[in-house]
Amino acid sequence: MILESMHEAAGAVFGERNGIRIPVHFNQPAEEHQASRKNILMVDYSHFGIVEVQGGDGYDFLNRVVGGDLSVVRNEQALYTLLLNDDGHIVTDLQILCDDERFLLFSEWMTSDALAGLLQPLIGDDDVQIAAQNDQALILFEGPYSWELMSELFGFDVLGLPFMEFMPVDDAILLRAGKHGEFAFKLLISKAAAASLWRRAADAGVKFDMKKGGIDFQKKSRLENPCWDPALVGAFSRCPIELQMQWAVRYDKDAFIGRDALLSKLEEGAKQRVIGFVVKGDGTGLNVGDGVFSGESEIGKVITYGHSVGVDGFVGQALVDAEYAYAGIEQYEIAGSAARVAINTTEIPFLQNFSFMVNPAEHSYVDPARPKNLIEQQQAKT
Amino acid sequence: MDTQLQTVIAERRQVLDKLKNSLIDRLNLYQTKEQIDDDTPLFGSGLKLDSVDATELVVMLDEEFAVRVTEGDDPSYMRNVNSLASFILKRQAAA
Repeated sequence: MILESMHEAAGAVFGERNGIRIPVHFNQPAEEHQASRKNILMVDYSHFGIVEVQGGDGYDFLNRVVGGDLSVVRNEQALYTLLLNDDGHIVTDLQILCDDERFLLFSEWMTSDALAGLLQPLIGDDDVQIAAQNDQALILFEGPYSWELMSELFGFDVLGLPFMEFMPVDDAILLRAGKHGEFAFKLLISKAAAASLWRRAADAGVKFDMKKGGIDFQKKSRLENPCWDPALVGAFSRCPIELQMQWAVRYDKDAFIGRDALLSKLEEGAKQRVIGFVVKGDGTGLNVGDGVFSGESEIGKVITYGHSVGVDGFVGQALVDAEYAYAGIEQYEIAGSAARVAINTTEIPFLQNFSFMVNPAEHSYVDPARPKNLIEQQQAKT
Repeated sequence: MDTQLQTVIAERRQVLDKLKNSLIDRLNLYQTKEQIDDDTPLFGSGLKLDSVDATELVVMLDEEFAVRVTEGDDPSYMRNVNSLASFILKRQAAA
């Protein structure tokens, strides 16, 4: 049985990303989001593009194309970075895995064929082979106890796996990497074996109160822990400087696509930058696109917005004139359809993620001899 | 921009600039301060600091900003550059 048929049998609601039909939710999206914050959420990430880059010039080729510095990663390590265009705008973000004689590229926003097609013309005379990995699937396990499930499925070595490193497990690759501040793992596995693994993980996940989920959980997760998501912010900006994503590029490299454009923009000074805000009081009447005001001057627009259970309030991001774009400001307002509402600007991310309270060396969701988290541990001491 | 807002922004900007310059000098970062965004994470994929750097940060707070970190402080102030600036401003306001 293939994954899609299994999801259909389980009653998944389907949607589309990158032209791929995948589940958007199985249960209520809010329940699935909470599972990723408190327990474990398992999600089919078959929409990810996966590309293999090999050849004698593979390293040099990739390193002059992507924004990040590949020289800092060794075998079984990964790098999060951006692929820009010549204007310095984000085309896609990438996770690049350094796997012995090859690199594996994961893109959330392009199919394997599209990513391979984009890279192919950039090779020139280099000794580089690029291959779309259309026979591979990705499965996400995200949540404060995902490490414990991975350990049960693949062995204790998983517990020592650092962030942005990966290891071979069975006939798959397990990467520890997430975007939403929680423990997270991506399993790269052949499509032929994915359904069997999904079923095995679902059975093992019962005692962790794990939920199967679709990609709709990202809407709340990315409201609370913003990351590159063109569906949310792409209409407003694709500039890493405006979006506070310069950490994903490495300016002191000799070259990467878009480097000159970014350096020119830095020289000129960015006109606007993104800031986080928390609404003071009732934010039910506000929406994406509403104006942000300082007194009577409109200084920007709301680009993400919604209610956060974790924050217990309405939060969002605004793209604001650079001279006003600072955290810790209490004088701004958003003009909603009915009234103006006061906000506090704040640092991003908004959430103190629950995974910070969980230490794999000391805690367990299923072992009654160990506390579940730091809070329980401290309560037991008093 | 009114005077009160100008003052609040100037105070934060001053702390952010000094903080970024101190990070660059003390931790040998390659970036200029303009290349470090205010919400850049200090650890993980951001500035990629490690536990040794965390100790240096605590020393830096004391020597450069006269801010003493105690065991009771919520460590979340070390999450990113902006949260560190907020921590400094809060401590300075309370002093």
